[in-house]
Amino acid sequence: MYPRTFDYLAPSTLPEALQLLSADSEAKILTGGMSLVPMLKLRLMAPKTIIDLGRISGLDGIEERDADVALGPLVRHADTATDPSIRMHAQALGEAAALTGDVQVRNWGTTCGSMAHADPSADQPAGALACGATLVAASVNGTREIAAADFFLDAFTSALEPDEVLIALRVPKVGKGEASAYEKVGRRGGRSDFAIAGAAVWLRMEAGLIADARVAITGVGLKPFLADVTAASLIGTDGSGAALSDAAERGLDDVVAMEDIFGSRSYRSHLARLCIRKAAERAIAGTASE
Amino acid sequence: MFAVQAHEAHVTTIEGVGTENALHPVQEGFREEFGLQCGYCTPGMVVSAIGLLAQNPEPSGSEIRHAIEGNLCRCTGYQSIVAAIQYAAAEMRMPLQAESEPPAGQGRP
Repeated sequence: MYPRTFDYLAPSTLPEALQLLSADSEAKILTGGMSLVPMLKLRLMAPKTIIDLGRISGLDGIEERDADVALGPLVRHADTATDPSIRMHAQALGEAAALTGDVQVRNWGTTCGSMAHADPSADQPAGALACGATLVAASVNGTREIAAADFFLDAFTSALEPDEVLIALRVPKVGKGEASAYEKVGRRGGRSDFAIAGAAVWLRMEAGLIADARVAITGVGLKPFLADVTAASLIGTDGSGAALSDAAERGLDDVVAMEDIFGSRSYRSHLARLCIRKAAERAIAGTASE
Repeated sequence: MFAVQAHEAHVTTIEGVGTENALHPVQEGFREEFGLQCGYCTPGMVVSAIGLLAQNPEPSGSEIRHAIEGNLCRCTGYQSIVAAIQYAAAEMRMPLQAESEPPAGQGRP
């Protein structure tokens, strides 16, 4: 289906884009368009104004700073998947980007766009949650920082206000003994399609024990979320297979899992537990290889 | 993507890849290895393969499958497409001097 007609605006500066957005609360931001354009064509939305950030220079950088790695809003999935700083400091996010969509989607879709779209089955939100990322939103009234844990509110609903643009994703650099990993099972048995279940695990090892952990789940609930009980169960253990299995069993029981043609509730929960275990194993291995 | 987003960009389609008399090695691979039947998906497969080989001249079978999975083929079962891309990869890695000779022994046994 053709989208309804809309005005296409391509501002050349970010302040101009924010001004345009503030003038129309129904306007939508376009970066990669890998989610927005299908929604327009299915007529799930019909904004009168589309504001393309693609002509604004300086938004496509990945910058390693003192405490974090900052991704601009035009950083493509393919960049996130291959960037050396991400590979070093945000493995779970990089691995999630590598498993997002197919090569056409990865070359064009953006990591920040995936965050803003807040699909409950998207991969990279789980990576951002597990890595403890911060999202930066801008409007004509200024900028504010939102912790990833506070960003995903519901299916396709983020903490962004209608007049806000996501201008950066900041992932803290890993310290000593810290690493992360992402595992998923995609639709059609593949790895790259939307996750039926996926898990990102970040942890810190100290003297052979898990000293801290974050576990993020996607594809299972109505939004990507942190499984705090699972993470707490990991802390203090030695990360052995038995400890990981035990932790993976906890914390998902009170989650209302989605159910559709791709998987029942119990199947999704089962896959999520497998993904937690595999991601935790690889994260632990990652801390050892530093 | 909207056409207006490609304003001032350089776009290469299948028409810009090779000619009837001088096929691109990937196109040649698809012919030699029977990488197509109806041909509907072939342009997408060929440009995806060219993109892959530009970044990774020696892809494994699973890397090839990962690279082309955005394209659906209802005819071939994919195996011959993977073989076609492996054929092209081998041909493109060959030293220039070998271009005067036909690529022997790389087709089907």
